[in-house]
Amino acid sequence: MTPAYRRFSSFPMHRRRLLTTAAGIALMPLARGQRTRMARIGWLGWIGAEGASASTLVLAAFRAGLADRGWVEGRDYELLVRDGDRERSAELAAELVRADADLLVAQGPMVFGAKTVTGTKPVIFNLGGDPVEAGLVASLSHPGGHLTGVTSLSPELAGKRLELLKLAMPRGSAHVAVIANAMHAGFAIERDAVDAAARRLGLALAWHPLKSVADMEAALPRIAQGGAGALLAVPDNLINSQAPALARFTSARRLPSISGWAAFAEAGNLMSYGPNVHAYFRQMAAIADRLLRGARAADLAVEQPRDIELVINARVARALGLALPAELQLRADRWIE
Amino acid sequence: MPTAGSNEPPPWPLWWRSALVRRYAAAFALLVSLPLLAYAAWSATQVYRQQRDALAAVQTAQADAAAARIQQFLRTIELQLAWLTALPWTGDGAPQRRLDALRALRQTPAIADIALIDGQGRERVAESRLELGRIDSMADRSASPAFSGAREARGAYYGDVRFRKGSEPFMTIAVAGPGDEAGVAIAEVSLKHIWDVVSRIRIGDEGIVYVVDPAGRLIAHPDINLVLQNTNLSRVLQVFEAQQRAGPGTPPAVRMAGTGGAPVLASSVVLAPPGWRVIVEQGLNEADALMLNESEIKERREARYLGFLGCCGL
Repeated sequence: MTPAYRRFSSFPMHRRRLLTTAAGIALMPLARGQRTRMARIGWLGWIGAEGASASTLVLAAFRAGLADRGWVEGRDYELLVRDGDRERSAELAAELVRADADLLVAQGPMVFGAKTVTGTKPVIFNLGGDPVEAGLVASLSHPGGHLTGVTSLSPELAGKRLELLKLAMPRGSAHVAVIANAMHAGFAIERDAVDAAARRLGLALAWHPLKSVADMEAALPRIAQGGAGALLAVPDNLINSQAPALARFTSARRLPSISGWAAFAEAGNLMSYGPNVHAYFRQMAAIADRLLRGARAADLAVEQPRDIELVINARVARALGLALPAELQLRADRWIE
Repeated sequence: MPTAGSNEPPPWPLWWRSALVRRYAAAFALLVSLPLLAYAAWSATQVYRQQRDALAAVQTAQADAAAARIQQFLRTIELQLAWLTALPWTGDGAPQRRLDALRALRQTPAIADIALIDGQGRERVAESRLELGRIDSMADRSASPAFSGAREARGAYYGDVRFRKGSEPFMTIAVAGPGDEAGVAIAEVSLKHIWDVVSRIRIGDEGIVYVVDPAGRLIAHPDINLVLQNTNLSRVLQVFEAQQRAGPGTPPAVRMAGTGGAPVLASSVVLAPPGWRVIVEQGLNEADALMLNESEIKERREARYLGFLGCCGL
């Protein structure tokens, strides 16, 4: 028995192990650094027409939602923003994937391009229509793939807006002008829903499909000549971006108007009826939070907006000389003074 | 380790070398320490059991409090509907009732749709957040379970929970007015709003409260995603139902796999009219920590006492 020798002979073994351990410890901060690097969120904003980015409003709400959950921009995450139209969605999504984004947030129809290029990277969408019908998810409760998000019930709400608008219209008028972005993914579905509602409500509609801001500028004089008693603006980014211009038009022509997001009424139009934009994009941020913490998109149910709000601009109502009926006043969740 | 070359035993005192004394001492030590050990073990189990029962009582009280708040949520809706049916129907009452229905929608965000049915079962007013309103449609709704259910109950009727578009939980609540020819108010209620209630209830540091319907489906949970996924919790329900059948009194907290996957201690109460089960669950570590805080002190004291006695015995 020569324990001293045995110890000596095993020493090289120890040394190797020691070296690897030391190297491992030395490299650990690097490996950790890689894991806890700043999360990278790719934002795929949708510009329905030239220069009409409506990302700012929703981006602010999305950022606030992340802040609620303790994410500090610049410290915990960075946001890579790419704006474009549907045709460029795949290209822009690929760009974000190359930039090593951990997940993509795709606005409106941008999800259709994102879906094809992101492989297994999670994509959060917000879609007006039904994501199951659109083929994005297997079901709302179990999306099953790498896509999940929120859906805003637009077709259902489209008809309801017309009903509310009718309440604000002066008596004897049954003619409503409708402007909508014809490039919108759900345009046909919403058009059917609005037409069906109009038949039930006994209203005559004049449709003005648009493809660009220039189209809208051309449409406004036609609406004025058509003698419409009210204006329904089917909400989407193009229409949202033109809310101030529409406000100038509707106040000049003394037209009651309605659209989907509160910003439309805040810009000086009469009403909006739709999801609360802050709550809605906070829901999206909550999904992003869970995905960044390791949840799988396949397991995160698609959410619907919880609160639908009617916002009425009281200033505009007075300026238009409208006597809003009790049915409308009782429904208002918020008044803008 | 024994050192080499010290093989001789230590020199014991003379009296100890007598075999009889040694046997006598061993027997005495055994006789004293065995019962003591047994007593300590028994007392430790007793203390643990007491603590577990106390925890169950606390959890049950918390579940009761949570149930009371959920009941309040349902009562608010019932009251709104009761107002809408307080007066008998007249031929031209619909426009005024419509305003009342709109007021109820405005005041209670959880109500998605309201329908007012007259004594003959005809729909007079229908208002919704999504669909177009109807007034005096006179559609026959006398055969609907909500109408007959509320009339039979002479009060509130609770329908089954169902998931709209396979995801969001909804339930029909209907209330009949007084009298045989009373009208009925039927509301579609979004149960997603119970989230406001359950997410605000704090049970210790990480404990939660959630609600399961009689079919075992999760209808309210602080993690809304589990609800939207239509999580089936029949296994949890079965555990509690078996416990309930076993006998009256506060049953002990149940050890099970929690909704988050980790082991938990859980207690539950039944919310009477809809028959929902309100469940409180607390992570095992947290629950154990609570119990140890109390029982640890007692056990340590006993251990010291025992050690002292053991020394004396030897």
